[in-house]
Amino acid sequence: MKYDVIVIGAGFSGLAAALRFSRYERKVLVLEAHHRPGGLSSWYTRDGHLFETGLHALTSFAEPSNRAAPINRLLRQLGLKRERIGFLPQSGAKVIFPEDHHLRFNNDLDMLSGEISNVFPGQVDGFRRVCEYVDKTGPVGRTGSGRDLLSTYIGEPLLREMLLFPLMTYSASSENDLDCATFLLMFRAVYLEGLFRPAISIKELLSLISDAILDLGGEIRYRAPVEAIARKDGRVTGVHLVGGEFIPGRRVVSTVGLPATFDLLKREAERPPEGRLSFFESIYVLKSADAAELRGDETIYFYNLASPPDYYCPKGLTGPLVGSICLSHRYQGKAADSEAVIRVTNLGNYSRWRKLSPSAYAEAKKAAAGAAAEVAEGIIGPFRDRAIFHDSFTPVTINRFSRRPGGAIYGSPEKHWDGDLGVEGLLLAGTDQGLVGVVGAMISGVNIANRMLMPMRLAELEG
Amino acid sequence: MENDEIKKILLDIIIEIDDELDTGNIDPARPLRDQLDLDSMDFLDIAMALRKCYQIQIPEEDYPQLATINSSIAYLKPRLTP
Repeated sequence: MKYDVIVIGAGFSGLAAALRFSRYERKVLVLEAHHRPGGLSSWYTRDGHLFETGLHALTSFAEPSNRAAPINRLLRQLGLKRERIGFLPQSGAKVIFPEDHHLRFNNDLDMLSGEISNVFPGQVDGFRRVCEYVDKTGPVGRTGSGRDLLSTYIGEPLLREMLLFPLMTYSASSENDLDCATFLLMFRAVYLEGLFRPAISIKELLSLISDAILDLGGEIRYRAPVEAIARKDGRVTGVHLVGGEFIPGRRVVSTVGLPATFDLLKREAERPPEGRLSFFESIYVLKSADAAELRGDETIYFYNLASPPDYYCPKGLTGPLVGSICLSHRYQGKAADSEAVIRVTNLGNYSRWRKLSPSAYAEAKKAAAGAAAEVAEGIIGPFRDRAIFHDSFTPVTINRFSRRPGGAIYGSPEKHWDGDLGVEGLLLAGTDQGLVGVVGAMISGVNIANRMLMPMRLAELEG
Repeated sequence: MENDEIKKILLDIIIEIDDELDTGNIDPARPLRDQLDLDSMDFLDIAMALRKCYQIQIPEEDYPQLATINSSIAYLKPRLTP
């Protein structure tokens, strides 16, 4: 039996693509190497707790009435009901830089404009203009540096860096800057739209999507790693699984990233450089009463206390002075009696972690978690002594479970915006197609599916 | 198939795409896009649903025929009537 579409990878981009296809194609198959879905954004259980891997916030918040908003459009195209997911907006976020400089923002752009008026009065017009520019400018085809673009509107270097930093934290695939296209997408997704999390867990969200695929007759196979993408005369004919099985298919969507996709095509020579930015993250679970005593009321803190602030791969194992903290109980609408999960996330140096012996690795993990928590406690107050559970993961852990080279969750610095790798019937979706994060990945999956489904003339209807 | 039946098929498909759309007062002569705030992907969904439920293959050059209820009826009538 020949599949209409084979999707490689059951992460959010692969599942979104498969769901979109399943609504219209007869035979859709998702192949996942791991035993569960999610890819870069999945879940695990320890000591009876359910943990999400890495998720701080989803971007691109919009009210339900805003039909044209990317998030609502996405859910519509997937046939997913927003009420079943539940949107919990952030209470606010705070950017913290050396010498007590800080800037707050939430999902209402007026707050950030107000902060800028107060702290950097001369810059607020430039900020308003950059917002207008981002709002009317699409990312495709844009090249150059995001910082350079921002500089044309924001003359004050400190403000510029403070605005850029949260965007880099949630998307950067290369060091200390964003490419212009990613900058445009992220500025819109974080500042113009906003941050939220689903009311349901990532595990439930993944089940919602995969069940919808199965209900429509699509298939998902786990523990099914792909060895190669087969072609004949420049056209996709199917995939070979590790172990030898051949699965015929007319079209393939690869979500495993650019380097791994070139490997599957046996075109290793074209393999792009790997991303250098990976993460070290610690998770602490607190009882709700203890969490209520922490300082501040923001959901997310982005701190860059290095002098001067930068965003390079750390020379050591981690860079504890540069990171972010996310407090799950501070999402609006989160049940007050639920346990609180605190995530403290820093950049991590994959190759340094990789070289450690098993015993040195365990020690290093403990030390890195301690150094990170000390800085974080300076911001939100002590939490380690009250934690009822703690766990950490390193760039090596990310690499092991996500298979991303170098544990670089935001992918390769080289992006392929059209998803085209020069093979008929094959398109790339996900992080290396240029859209990052859970929402970005899903939009990418749907866009790529649409491109395969969509006749070119649709543009005419847009008038 | 009668015009009203075709109109109902179309509106049912649109409601399936987004059940919050108000399809009660549609002017059949005006573009759906302007009245319902539909985007190009919504039209793809309409075309795909017609293909799936009624086995109508709509070639890409014919998509603009779905712009209004009236033009859709004119286009679909010979294709829906056996």
